[in-house]
Amino acid sequence: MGWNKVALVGVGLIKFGELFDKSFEEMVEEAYLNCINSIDKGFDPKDIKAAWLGECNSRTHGHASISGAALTGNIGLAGIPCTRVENGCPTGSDAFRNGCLGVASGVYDVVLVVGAEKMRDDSTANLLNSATRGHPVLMRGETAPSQFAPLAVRHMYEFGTTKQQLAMVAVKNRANGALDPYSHNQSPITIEDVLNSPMVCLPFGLFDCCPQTDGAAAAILVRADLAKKYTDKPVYIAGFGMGTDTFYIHEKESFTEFVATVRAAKQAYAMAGIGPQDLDLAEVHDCFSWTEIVDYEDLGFCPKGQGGKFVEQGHSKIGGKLPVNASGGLLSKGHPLGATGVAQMCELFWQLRQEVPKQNPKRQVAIKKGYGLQHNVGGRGISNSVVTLLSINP
Amino acid sequence: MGAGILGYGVYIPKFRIKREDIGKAWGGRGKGENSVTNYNEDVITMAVEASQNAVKNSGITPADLGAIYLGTASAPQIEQSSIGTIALTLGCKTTIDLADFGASPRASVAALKACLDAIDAGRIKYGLVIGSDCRLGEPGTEQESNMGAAAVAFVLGKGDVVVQIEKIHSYATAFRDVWRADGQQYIHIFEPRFNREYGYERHVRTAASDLLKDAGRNITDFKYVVFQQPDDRLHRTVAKSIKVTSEQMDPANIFPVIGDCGSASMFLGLAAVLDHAQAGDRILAVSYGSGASDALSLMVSQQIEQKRPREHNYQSYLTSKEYIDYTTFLRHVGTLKKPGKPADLGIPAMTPLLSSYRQAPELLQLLGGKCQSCGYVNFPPSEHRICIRCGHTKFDRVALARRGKIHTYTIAYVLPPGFDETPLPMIIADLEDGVRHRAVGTEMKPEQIKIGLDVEFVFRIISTEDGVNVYGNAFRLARK
Repeated sequence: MGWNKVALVGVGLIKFGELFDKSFEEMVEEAYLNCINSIDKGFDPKDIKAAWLGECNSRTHGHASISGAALTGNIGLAGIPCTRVENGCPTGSDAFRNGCLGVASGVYDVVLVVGAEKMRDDSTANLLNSATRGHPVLMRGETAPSQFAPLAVRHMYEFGTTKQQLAMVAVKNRANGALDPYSHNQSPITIEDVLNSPMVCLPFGLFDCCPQTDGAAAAILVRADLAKKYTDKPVYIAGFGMGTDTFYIHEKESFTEFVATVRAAKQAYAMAGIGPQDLDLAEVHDCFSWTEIVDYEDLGFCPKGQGGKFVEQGHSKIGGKLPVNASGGLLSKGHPLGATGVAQMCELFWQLRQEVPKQNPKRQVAIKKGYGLQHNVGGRGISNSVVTLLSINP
Repeated sequence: MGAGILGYGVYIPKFRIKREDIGKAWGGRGKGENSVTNYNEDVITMAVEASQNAVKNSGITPADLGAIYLGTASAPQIEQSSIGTIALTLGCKTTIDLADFGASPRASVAALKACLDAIDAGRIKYGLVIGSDCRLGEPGTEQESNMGAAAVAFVLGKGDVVVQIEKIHSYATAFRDVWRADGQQYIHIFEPRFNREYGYERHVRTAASDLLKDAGRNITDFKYVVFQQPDDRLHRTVAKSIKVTSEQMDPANIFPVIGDCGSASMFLGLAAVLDHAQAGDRILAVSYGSGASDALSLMVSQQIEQKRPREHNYQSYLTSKEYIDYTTFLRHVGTLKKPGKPADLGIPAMTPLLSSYRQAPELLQLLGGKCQSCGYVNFPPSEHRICIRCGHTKFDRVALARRGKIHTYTIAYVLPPGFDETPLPMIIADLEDGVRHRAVGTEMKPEQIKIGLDVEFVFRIISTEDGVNVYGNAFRLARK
């Protein structure tokens, strides 16, 4: 089952981390080459008819007004159409979604999607400068953690979600990340490490937060009926959805869910004709430990308020009933905004094709029904979300 | 009968430093304490809260005010009026007469006299006079140990006055003592003994004696005597020479607990007295600043019983206090700053001046746009011309409730340059009218903050760019 008008035939990722020795351009080139060179039956770049670049933070690498040419102009594809997408935390997944729309429109048979972000060419203080930007009163002090945190506090208050349960997410994902050669963080941590880490923004300690990371990822999308030209094991786009919410945090009706996620998931499940019970795995947005807990609920993995128990009971670990963030998630890989969504597609591509054992056999999840879910949520006011469903089922 | 005081209101910041703690830092001593502004307070924010209290206590509305005159020696800007922001925040009419009186801690009394004249001349019906100051002395000096912060506001008019103003006598010379030049943060003095004898003592004594002579009264005719109090000693010397008893002046003895609050000093002493005064009590009040002194003969009327503030009065502000150490004091007043330049306010170019022009009424007065179709209160209304809940385009402008309960919150421990008050609480509260609002929290400790607690809006500096403050409302824990 699924929409399946577009297929993913190849992906490329670079090792995420503090890449002080790599420029934005080098990251993009490496991800692109990793992608096209890994395509099973070979790939001619001339087949690419359009491209999308997901990138948010252009001022940090010197481009006053970055355009899509920052991608095509650097990889020998100057000439083809290329659109830059900037759309908060779902930037990469939204670039991917636009690539799907481009192919499904019938205008382009083969497109390239690259997500990339230089987060480390900026100081941490500068990243926090969102706290001074936007509305000078209503948004005063709003950083990434301080926009997620009030919802975490309310969730803990209403449902009894505990700091320990938040820590369990971080411990699970850091254990998975230790098995992922592309991950920024490569070391496991303990519950005590998380609980004792310095407070960043109540209730998030340092280890409840994803690191500040550079990264890039690439994907080739083709018309589904052309997929076999490139691989015998294409991964189909079974469905996708995107939801938005009100812009200011005080305008949220509920502080125990992200409506944008709920809306995106509803569209994606309907488009694919499946439900959460059909998933073999999910790569979800865990910028902070608690975010993954609310994701479980918003994406329908468990009932409202049960997210804390879901991780506590081990359902989301590798080998559990629905492994979540087998890649290590954002907590391990980091969150280079443009790259994150595309990198999640890479992980799902490898997992669904059962190719993870080439990297580390312990990280491969069991593929039974052939569906994987990708999810991002964020942007100012945590007001947009993308959900993508990938499938090996034709 | 001439104009008098219809109502009064005070404001004293929450923080105190013991003079002993300032003394210790410099190898000295000290007794008593000073009030200290928070990071997000200045002459304007203090004046707003005192004025809100005064207007409420007087029984008029802000729209009734024909003038607001502010007296201060520590306005946030050398050039840029402070009073417009105060008037807009209070919700006054734009036909109002506004004026800043400055350059001396006696500026507030100059403002008072001008306002009385405007009323007596029939030019305005009601006026608001404010004394607000948070002057600073240079670190390690006696002035540093003496400076406090406070604001006091009086609503003036005719009719049901709580205080009649019987007579004012002024004495002014070319004497020059305390100064603060353009670009300087701290006040300076030349020679204490010279200032004492030829400045404060001579001027205050002369103004007071001349008033008594002029009015044909004895000092014993006055139940209370209120002096400007730049320290704990000057006014006692004058009191001795004109035979004022401690019974007459002790009720107005604010210096030991507040310090030298400049333009608010004599006003605050008067407010402290009025909280206890009875109808028929006569009060002598004497100001001083920069070579000029005014002596006022005042008579308390029957109205005092009804209009005396029962809450948010001198005593309640005096007791709502928290002690800070010397290092924290230096950070509060801006002597010590966190390193790094704060980022600009970002894209689109919301300079403080532009945004406060576009959005000042709704941000300062907390006005929302109530949808005529679904009833949802959109905030900020200038940005929401289409109801975010239902898409309707017709609204009623409504004032948000001033109090609410915490729905949820967070506390940021890591913030970039430009954030002095860390950890910084961010509060999402459900107001008493059902409207949900978000604002930074102030004067609440992390361990105090809980979901469900009562909070109230308080007018503060929210951010600063290029030395220009953006004012708005923060939440503090609700007070009596």
